Amino acid sequence: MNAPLIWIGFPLVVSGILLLFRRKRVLTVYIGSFVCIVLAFSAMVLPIGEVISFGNLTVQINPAMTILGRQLIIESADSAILSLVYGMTCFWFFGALISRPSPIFISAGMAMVAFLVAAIAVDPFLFSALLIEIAILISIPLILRPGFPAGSGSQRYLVFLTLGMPFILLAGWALGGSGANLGDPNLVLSATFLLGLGFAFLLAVFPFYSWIPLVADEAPPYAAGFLFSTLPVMILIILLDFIDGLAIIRESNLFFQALEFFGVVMIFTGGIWSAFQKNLARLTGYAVIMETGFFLIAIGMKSESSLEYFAQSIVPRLVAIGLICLAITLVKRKENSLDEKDLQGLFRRMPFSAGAIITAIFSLAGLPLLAEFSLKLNLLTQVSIQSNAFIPWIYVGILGMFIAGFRFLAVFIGSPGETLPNLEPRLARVLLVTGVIVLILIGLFPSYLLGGQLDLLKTFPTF
Amino acid sequence: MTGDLIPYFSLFLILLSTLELLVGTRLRRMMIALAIMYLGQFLLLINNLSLGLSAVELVAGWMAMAILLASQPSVETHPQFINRQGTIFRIIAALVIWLLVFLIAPNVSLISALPTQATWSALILIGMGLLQLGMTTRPVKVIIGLLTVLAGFEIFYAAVENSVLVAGLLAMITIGLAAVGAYMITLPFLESTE
Repeated sequence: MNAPLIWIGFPLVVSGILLLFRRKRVLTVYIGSFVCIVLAFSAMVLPIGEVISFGNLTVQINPAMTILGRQLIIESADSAILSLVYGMTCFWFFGALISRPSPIFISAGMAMVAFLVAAIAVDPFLFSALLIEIAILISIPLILRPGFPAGSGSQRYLVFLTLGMPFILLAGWALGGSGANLGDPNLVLSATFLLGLGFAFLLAVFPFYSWIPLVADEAPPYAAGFLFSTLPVMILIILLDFIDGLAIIRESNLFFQALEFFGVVMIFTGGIWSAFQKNLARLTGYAVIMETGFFLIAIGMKSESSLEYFAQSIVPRLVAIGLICLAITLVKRKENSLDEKDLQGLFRRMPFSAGAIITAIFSLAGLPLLAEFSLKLNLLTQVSIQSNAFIPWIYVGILGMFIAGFRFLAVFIGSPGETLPNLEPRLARVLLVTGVIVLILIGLFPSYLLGGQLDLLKTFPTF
Repeated sequence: MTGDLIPYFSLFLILLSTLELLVGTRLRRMMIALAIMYLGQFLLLINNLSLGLSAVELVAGWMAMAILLASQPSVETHPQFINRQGTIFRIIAALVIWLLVFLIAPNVSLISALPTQATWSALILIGMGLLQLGMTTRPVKVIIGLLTVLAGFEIFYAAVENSVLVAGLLAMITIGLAAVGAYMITLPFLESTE
């Protein structure tokens, strides 16, 4: 038995089986969620590479598997990533009970995640770009709505993310060349540029992020949320893996300065657009852009505490995006619109959804006592210690998100007119209230609840 | 045909096919052009990859073409018309790309370790594919643009990496892109799940 077979092969087989049963939505949701939670739990408890004894029976989980001359390697240090990834997937799959996305959501989602895990595991890791591309192709049906033509958002998503792959592969080739000739600064610069450009496409870094609000608007909100919360985190983990494995990049100040700079640009522009955004789905897209910006700053600062921000903010971000996407799915279903003008008095019609949306927006903006406040405060303190140049721009971006939050709050508590209350389903209410409570609890006890996430950093020992 | 002429012949095929893909509106002709483009790519790939791996890329390309062709509705509901000015504009844009490619190819050839003739073909594929992507919002054209860019990239990449896994994954991506394109094309005709 080997680890890639368990955490890559098995979910791929399950996704194939679930595809056959796609019409039985509830069954696929339960099976998908169960498989993901088992995979997440087994990643925590199964020792990879060590002998496990069950009475007379001994089993060893081999970390490597060879495919066509290349290897997939999952070591014990990757356990935190595996449990995080499959835990996140379980979270999204379970919410599908309420949000009812496309019938292939579970099977395609599981296959996508399995390929992303393969992208982390492949050796040499520069081939991961090919596996990411396959994951992206699998994700396309999730964001398309049968019966409607493919919008420009999904097309841009496909084009931008596909264009990222050649750059990363070419960077791998250039780095192979510079590995033999470390003294050639031009080759190193070219490789760094190619790698940066490749990841800029994959992470939807400014100016390649125009697809995010478009997809948020066109796609089913819940499927878009799954994509927004899973893909950037996985690609950032792959980026950290690259940086960890490539001394040339690790020692390149230019690369990290560029990450930090583009992070600030994303927060600033995302915040400004948020302030003027009148559509709730698009606002979620801009919030995602800002969050990616914060991640880029955290990696770009290259300090231990900034990386702790990256590791710790994954879960609050996941909960906030999940909450907002679940709530806007319900709102869209009942109200048929996510435009500001149609959401007057939403608090009186759909109080749980409206409350969850506002809480999630403020959590993402970093309101005190909510989940991301202490994390963002720590990160911004670090940024201000390093340099004051970026701080005003970041604050303007955050202010933009706060303005959007308060504007939607005012809209939601406005007069509802003569519309009747639209009660949310009971399970939806339970999930929404749980999500809000989790965001508040993380805000109150961040170290206690997020401390375990720091294990993620053990995967990148030399970073 | 002597070996020296093969790169020029494949360049000719690629120039012709990518131009048709850019200005063409009739699907069958575009698909024939796509098949010819992959033939041109195959003739260049066999210099760096084994015959078997090159054939895999060729077959994957032709399969992609077949998938796209099969997905078209029998009656096109929104046929695309390009007026004469639009066609002239596209041809001029293509000429600019060709000129640019012939100017930069010698320098790129030095870096990439590909012969100049093969570099011309690869860069023309990439350039014409990007031009296609910048000029259209039709799913079939977008997919053709991406396939064209990837075909050019494969010529470059075959010179530096000839592993079976990479060739297999690239072939899988080519077919996957066509499958996604087919899904996008048939999407408006599918039953809504909402």
